[in-house]
Amino acid sequence: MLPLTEKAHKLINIISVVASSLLLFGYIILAIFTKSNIVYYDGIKFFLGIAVITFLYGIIFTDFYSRNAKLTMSGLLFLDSLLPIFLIDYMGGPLTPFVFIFYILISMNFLFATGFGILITGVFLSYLGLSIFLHPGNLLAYTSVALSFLIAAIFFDYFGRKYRSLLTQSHDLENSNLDLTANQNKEDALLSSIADGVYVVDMDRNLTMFNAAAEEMTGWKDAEAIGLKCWNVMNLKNDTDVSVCQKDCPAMAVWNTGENVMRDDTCFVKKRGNKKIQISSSYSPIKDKNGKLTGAICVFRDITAGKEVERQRSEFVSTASHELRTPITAMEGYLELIENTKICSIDDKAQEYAEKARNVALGMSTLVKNLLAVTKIEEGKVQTNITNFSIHDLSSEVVEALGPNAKNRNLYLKIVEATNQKIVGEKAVGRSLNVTADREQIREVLFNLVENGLKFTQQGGVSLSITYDKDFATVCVADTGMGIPADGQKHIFEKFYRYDNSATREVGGTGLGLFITRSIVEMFGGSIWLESQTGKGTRFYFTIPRSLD
Amino acid sequence: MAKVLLVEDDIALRDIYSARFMAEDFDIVTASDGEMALTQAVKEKPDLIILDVMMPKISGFDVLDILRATPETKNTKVIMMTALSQSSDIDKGKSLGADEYLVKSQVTLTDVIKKAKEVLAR
Repeated sequence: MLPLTEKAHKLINIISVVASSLLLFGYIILAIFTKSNIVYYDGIKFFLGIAVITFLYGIIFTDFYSRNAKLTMSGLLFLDSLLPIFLIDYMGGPLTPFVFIFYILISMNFLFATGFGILITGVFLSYLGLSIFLHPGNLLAYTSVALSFLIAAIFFDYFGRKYRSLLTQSHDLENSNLDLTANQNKEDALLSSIADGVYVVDMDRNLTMFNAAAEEMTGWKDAEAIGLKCWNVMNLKNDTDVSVCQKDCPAMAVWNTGENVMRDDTCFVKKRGNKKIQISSSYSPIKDKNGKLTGAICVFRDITAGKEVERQRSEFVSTASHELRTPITAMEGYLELIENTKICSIDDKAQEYAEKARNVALGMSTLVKNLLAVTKIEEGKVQTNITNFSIHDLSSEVVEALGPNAKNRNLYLKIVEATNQKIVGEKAVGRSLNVTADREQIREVLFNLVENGLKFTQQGGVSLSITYDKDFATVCVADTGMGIPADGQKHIFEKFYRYDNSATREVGGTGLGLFITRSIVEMFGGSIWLESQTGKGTRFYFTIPRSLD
Repeated sequence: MAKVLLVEDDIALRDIYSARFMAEDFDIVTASDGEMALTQAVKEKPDLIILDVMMPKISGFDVLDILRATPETKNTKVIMMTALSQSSDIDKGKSLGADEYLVKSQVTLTDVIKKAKEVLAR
């Protein structure tokens, strides 16, 4: 069946009805004006019948054609094709030149549907058969006309099929194009309605897509932005106001690594305004179906407000800690003066309470110090002075400094010297045992671990040992204390985490020390872990990269 | 009896250090800012100056610089006290000629007394 558009169907239907009506009235007018005997011609009764059927069929099915449009159309064409038989018969039969009308009708029927083509050929052949029967004298002529009908039918059938398949293909193509456009529209709608800004760049970093949220945030219209180099529109800068686009382009990073890139340290200035907008963004590569890179897509959101809150928060913590520090130091100082027998004379009870108060003040000052440290770590503002130094010497210093603490509590604190220390690996030969890090920060790590060990140990003590491999020095701080249960070990390095039981409550602490310790160790490329058995003790290990000297 | 000039802008800390030093039989004079510190240093001729870094008007570093450039005070012992624990600050203090550099959060009162005695004994 011939695929046609709805409009074409309707048109052909109307033409068909009009044509059959015209033919009908044409006959009558011809008869009247020529005063011929056409109206008395026998075939006219059939003609009138078929014309009326065609007319009604056309009228009725004009409204219903859509149900089976092609069949309706072919049927109508077929009926219309029947009409000229009578005209030709009246004009002198199949041997007159009018017979060419049949060829046209056969071709048209085959064009629409093979079935109706065969049917109309059959009807015409029957008409020829009838003519032979009525006029047997012209057998040869009739036979040749019949043969030419058959040849024409085969010929038109072939072309009709070809034509229909071509049309079907183009129709399918058109449909798939429509589908594609629909999909495209769907994607565009999705990207436009998303609350995050989205833009796409090609491999030359020209913008090829810019969604509504991106328009809203940047102040650029997509019509202006598309086709421009992305850095002219976005012009990303980092926290220190240095342009990111030329040297540190995230899209280029995506293409170089083939991996997604996330950034939350960039900002851009809104068009026609000085408003700086801080964004968090993710960049992903776009590849065609062969895996070839064709561009990058960026999804970004405005985090200006969040960053501001974060800044205010850390500023508050920093200011509050600084402001707290001075009075706490003063409090500690006054309490120390009270306890100093050279300055004051108080009774034993007062002495005891003053000492307790001083310990509380000391805890407070540790908390403030740790809070400040955490704020600095989280802001990435820890200033470091990286040098090569002996971790063994530093450990000795810490042991010496904390020695009195251990002695007061009848605990030992010592360094266990490794015997037969052998370092294997190609880089092991001829190198000092120095490590590379900030000496003061590592002192802090050692202090924290040793103090912790002493704090949670009742009997025995704390020992330090250092081993080296080709890349790292590993320091072990082992105590003989209460140990950390398995469920606590998982969280022990988390901020504000404290394993809660009666013993830890007694000892006290901020829950920040090990968080800070881990952060420092990791800052210098080391790692930290622990082994512990409840009741037997805990071993903390941390590594620091060895220096190359 | 050694004379110590204590330069500290916080009144409580000045109070505490004074009391503690006096208990150790030091002779104490105080100053609450850089300007006053310079005046006192010339007038009182202390054996040791405990110098806070962060102060109004003239910072401790500048005070030290002037002290070292002034003939009367260029040999006076100076211990710098600060909240700043950056190595760069410690280096700056040492290069300006401080005899000792103490970070407030890392030392106790007793430590300060100990250091003062140590520096004076040099």
